[in-house]
Amino acid sequence: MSQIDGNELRGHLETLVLAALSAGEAHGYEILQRLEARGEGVLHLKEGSLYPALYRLEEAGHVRAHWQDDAEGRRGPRRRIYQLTRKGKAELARRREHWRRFVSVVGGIVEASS
Amino acid sequence: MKAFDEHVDRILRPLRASGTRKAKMREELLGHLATAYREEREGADSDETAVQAALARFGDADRMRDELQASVPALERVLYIRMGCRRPGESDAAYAFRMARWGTAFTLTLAACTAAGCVLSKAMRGQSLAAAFASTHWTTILATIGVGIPIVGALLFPMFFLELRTQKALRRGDFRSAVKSGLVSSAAFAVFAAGTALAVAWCVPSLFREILIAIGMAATWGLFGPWCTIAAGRWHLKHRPWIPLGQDF
Repeated sequence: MSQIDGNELRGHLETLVLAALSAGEAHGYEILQRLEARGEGVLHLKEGSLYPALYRLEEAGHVRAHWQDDAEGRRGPRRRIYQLTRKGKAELARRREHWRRFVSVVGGIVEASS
Repeated sequence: MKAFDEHVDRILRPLRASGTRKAKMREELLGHLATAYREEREGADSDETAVQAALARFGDADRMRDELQASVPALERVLYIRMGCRRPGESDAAYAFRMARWGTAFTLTLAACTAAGCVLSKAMRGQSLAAAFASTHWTTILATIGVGIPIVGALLFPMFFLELRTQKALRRGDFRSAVKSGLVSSAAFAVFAAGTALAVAWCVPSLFREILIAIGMAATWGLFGPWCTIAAGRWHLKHRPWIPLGQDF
């Protein structure tokens, strides 16, 4: 199966991040791992591109973040933990609905013409 | 790790964003790269291979910079326009002169806007625009701006110079020198603000008074500038400084 890269995901990345966070709070690296796990090895995005999406979501109030307390004794830079806000959950529900409609309409057209 | 520091600094340093935001981004991006490196190191032949693999996974610096810049709120992008940054190879005096030029131009614009505002307010109180324009003391205004603007420029040059000294002292961790520069800077602004207040109180025609009040208020704000720099500098001292990246940054 051909891979889906960052360009194809453009415009959907924020929705994917919101969906990944609906499983519970996570830091950036963990969000990527969730996306890759759910993407069954087909999703291929440059890891750095996740962070602008996270910052946009944070700015819009859809996620909030806090620095992880380094209780595990892990060395190196701290991690920021992201979690969905109530506004973010509502936004995810809205985007899911929009996505279903998009797939239904566009999918119908694409399938019909094949 | 130096390669990661360089990559992240290359992405972040040119961003038009607050220092706090950049520091937050830097720590997070470095944390991500460190995790990716540890993962790559398990299967790689050497450190270098693992570093390159982690960087390749992370993505292109230019593209990421653009995306991160777009995630910064519009107001912050405007406030942190790079006008105030040092140019490569620029001396302290040249920097202070350039900034003083900008500051003087800004003050001139402010004075012009205030004068225009005075004319308009007269017109709104019932005079025709032509009458309001004619009754304005233009000779006095132009004469005072002619004298005042060079004074503003002459004040701003040492102020920016002292600001730079404060920043350098903070970077060295020399808090005493930073406070000294801050005190000199604040004292100069205080003298300027007091002089403006006296001029307004005793010997200035009513129309020009509003221009001087605006300049005086700006000078009063200038009193706080050095202390903001010192406070911000102390915060930045707790964080690792930017690393040298060559002339383009």
